[in-house]
Amino acid sequence: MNGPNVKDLALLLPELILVCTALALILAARRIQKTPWAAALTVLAAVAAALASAWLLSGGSKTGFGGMITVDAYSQFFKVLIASALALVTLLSVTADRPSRPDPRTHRPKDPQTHRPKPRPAEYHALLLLASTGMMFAASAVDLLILYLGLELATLCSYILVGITVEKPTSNEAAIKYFLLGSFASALLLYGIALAYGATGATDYAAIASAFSSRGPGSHRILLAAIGLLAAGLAFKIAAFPFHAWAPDAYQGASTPVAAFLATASKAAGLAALGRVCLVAFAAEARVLSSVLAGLAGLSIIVGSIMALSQTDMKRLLAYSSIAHAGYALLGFVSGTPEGAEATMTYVFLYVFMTLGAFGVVIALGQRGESLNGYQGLAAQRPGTAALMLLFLLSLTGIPPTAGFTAKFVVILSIVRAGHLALAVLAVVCSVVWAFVYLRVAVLMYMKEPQEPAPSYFSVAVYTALAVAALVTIIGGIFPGSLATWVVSP
Amino acid sequence: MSFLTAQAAFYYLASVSVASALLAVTRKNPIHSMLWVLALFLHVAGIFLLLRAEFLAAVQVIVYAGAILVFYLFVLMLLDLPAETAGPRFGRHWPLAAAAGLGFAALGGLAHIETPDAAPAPEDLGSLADVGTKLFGPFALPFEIASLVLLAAIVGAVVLAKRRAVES
Repeated sequence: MNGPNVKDLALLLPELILVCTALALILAARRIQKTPWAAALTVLAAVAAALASAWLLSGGSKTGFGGMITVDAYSQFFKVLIASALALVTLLSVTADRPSRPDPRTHRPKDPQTHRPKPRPAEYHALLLLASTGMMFAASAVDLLILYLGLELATLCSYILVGITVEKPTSNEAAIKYFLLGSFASALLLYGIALAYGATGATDYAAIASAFSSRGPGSHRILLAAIGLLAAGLAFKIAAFPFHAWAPDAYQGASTPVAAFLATASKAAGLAALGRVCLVAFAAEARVLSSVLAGLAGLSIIVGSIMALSQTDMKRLLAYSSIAHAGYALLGFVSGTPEGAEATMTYVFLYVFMTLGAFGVVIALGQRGESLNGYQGLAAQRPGTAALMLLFLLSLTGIPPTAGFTAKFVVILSIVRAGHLALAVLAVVCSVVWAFVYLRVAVLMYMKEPQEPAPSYFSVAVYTALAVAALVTIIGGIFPGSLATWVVSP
Repeated sequence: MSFLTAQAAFYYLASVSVASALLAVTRKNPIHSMLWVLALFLHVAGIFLLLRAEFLAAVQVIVYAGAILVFYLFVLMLLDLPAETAGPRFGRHWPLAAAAGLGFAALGGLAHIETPDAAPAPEDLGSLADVGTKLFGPFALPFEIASLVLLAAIVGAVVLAKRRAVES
């Protein structure tokens, strides 16, 4: 293994931009008391990182640091996606900073000082940046060690971001639950990596793949255990069944922008890592992997759909939605072919924008947006916001001509081609269940009388983010081929 | 070191480790228990040295005997020590715990089976020089990412602690 070369640092340009911005924010934390400054800096860094990722790709794919990271179309696709999610979440956080109405049942502040929401904008944004850096490392990793450290950096920041909200007592509980389950999943992942190292003496994907090919498939018992443990650890990161239990509590307890970040960027990074592990490192065990992933995907879709039916809290509903969508995204990997992986990439890209849009509307409505009843009569009070919500809900359901239809179409097509007809039927049937769940919100918005006073207007930042999300959702639906040149499997 | 001295050293370290572990769980005063645990950690570090795992020995002393023990002592200072000393040393479930411990020891004895699929271990695995050159050579990038993980943890600890201060 060659030592690192200073020139390799250039390959890490997007990550370095994010880390330097995070360090600058931490150093200047005492001086930054206003959210807009920190948010502006973070959005700039995210845009710069996305541009840098795209620019790096123009020099062709390279590996660096002794074959530990790679810069190829696959990694840069996910880096641009993660950077976009970071920028949109940052824009959405600008409003969440405004003092919301205190919950009279649980919280009665005596002193206005104690009710100051999220008093540390610099640290909040620094943690978002560091989490995104970790996700980018995970997307770029071709070595299990980098994969683990990247994901660990991302999840560690996520634990803190979930618990950072001051005004919510549930935030604490959610953070601790998330932390305990997350540590357990990290241990599984690490154990899987240790077994893979023990069996092959290497942690890089290429060496693991060649160790597989030197023996027949299915003969390497330790590596089979390693596959199972790695799949379990990564399934936690994307909140797929049976490792989904943390998601509804964490999303509900976290502030809404953080929940949006967990549902989008975090999931994209987990899927990016899983895709490369499946298609490069463990490609020889495609048969075992395919049945494991098919199980995870099918059960995630079923459990997410059934649990969503009885939800009355919007964020919990979106959490179950994200569990089911993780299942749909996994469908692409089931076939184990490059086309399948490309279908998953398309799915994740469009999913990130429509989910950010839906969370954006929840944020724009403030306290009112958190429960389903808050949507009653929204169309009469705020027709524009209601129309946007309808667009995102239609897209999440998968109704043409929105992006959600394109996304579901490509993944279901890929499993039909792979011969998993039962899974395809299941995916379509559960889409119908989801239509019922999502359209219930639409019915509340359009066919009920308003129960609460109209929500106040919100900052330009939130509307910018909503406009970007809506634009991608519409373009992705009308021009389904627009992503085709960008999605390239590893 | 000749074979005989090495064996003598091992039996000394092993017997003192077992004895100090037993003393650590049976002492009434938690501070005394902690001191026996310190003795245990140092002797286990000695066993690692005998196995030529210098790095593990150093980590054992610095992390366990240093950081973790001090952490335990801090927690002990938050307890009411006299009341703690007056109560019975063991809870009602101690036979269960003892059975579990003995079962684990038996499992250790049985675990001599060869793992058939394992890759051979590299030559100078675990020596201090080897770990050092690897850490600043091929593994420089993971090392730096680990530093970011620690930075995030520190920032997070400060943020969460400050949040409590705002709440109270």
